[in-house]
Amino acid sequence: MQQISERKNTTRALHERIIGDLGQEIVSGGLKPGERLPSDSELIERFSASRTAIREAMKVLSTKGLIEARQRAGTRVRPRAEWDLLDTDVLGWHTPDAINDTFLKDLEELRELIEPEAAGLAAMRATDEDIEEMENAFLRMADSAADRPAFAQADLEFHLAILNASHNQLIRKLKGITGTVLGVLFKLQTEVTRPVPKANIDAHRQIFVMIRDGDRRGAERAMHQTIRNGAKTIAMRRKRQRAVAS
Amino acid sequence: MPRTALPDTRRSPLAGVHGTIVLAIGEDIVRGAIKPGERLPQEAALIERFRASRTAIREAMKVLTAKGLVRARQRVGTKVMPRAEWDLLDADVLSWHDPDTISDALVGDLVELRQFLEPKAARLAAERATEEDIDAIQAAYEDMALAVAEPAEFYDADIAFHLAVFAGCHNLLIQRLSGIVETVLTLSFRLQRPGLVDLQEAVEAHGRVIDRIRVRDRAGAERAMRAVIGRAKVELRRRRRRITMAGRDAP
Repeated sequence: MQQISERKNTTRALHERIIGDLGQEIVSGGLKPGERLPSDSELIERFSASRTAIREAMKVLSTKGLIEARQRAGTRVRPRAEWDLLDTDVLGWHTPDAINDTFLKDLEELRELIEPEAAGLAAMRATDEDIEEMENAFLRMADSAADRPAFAQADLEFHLAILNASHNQLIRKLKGITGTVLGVLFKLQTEVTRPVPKANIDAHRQIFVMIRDGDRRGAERAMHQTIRNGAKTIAMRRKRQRAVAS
Repeated sequence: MPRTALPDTRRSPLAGVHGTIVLAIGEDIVRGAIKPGERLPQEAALIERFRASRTAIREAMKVLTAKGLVRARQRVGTKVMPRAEWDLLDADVLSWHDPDTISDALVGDLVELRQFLEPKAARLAAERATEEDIDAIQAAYEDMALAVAEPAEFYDADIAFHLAVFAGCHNLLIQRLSGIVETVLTLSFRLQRPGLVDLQEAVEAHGRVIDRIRVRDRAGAERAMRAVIGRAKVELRRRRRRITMAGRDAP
């Protein structure tokens, strides 16, 4: 029995590795739109996997819009506009280098679209439990200014707690997308060597206070401000990195 | 009461027998014939009911699992998941709701999601729409104006209008989100359409959106779109009241 479940686990791990490796290769531009994927037999060798495992993985990648199998033409990478960019895997496969300025702007705009309105709804509807959840996340942020990964985790929880407090079952379903977008943006924002600036923590406190006090417009404004601050940080970092590179 | 003929918009992700199974069971779940926590009929019973192969049934279960509607557990069988787990943004899942019995809460949430996304999409379109984007919005608008007497055609043109505005945002991610909005629109239209809606007024409200986009008035476009959705909200409420009344009058 245990052997069976172990085998199951390794099969699953292999399945995920094939998908993850190829997905990342496509998203990072190692395999470009229009290009053909390696043949089945090459992939079988590369991953030491069965033909079935390779085919299963291809199915998953094609439901995510990344590839398309054509008879006789082989399997090719599809144009970027057809990728399911809201899929959490596809988004998550973007390394900071794979995010160009256009896509960065797209990500920041999506945040602008969702989060301020959600903060406004939260200000109208948050229950005591919602407020407590946000407060806990905020306090953990404030405590971990020097511990970047812990800060990012608490930051994420804070923002998702706000979507939750919208008490709209459809907007709550946007948590998956929002979480992934935030994960990608936070990675770009993070200056590993420095503690989190106080202004960032203050901005989040302001969001929390506005929601707690039921100030809808105030919560929307505070969320806008936080998003803008994040965008500014990323822009500055990128500028600096480019200056260093050239 | 005669219902205005509308296209059947209940969707299934798959063609053929798989699709039929997914649609039938999905609808049973979403419409409450099988409730959260309850077990689905056994595989053998499903094979008989749908005259389908075991593989087809399993494939259909995989699809329903991916949509968060069911989960298979060893020895316990396949059970319906709590509603909070359902992928309500999935186009199929939304389309399986019965317009007459959908909850007021979900209807309210649908309208709110539109109010959430569309005014800002109109704002971005006012900033960035190209001549071609504007032509596409204009074409959909003209189709709406021509179809005021044909609810089914009007409804297609109306959806095309809103999707064209999304396309005018020139943001790949927001464009992806328009898939969700299309679903929401389809269901909202099924809810609000049959009846006393003044389509001429609706056309005029949409006209103000494209006017504002054309002159690059961002705030104006946002406001005009908010008004369009505000109208939809009022219409929905009116229609739901009528359904409730009709239910009360029924013998």
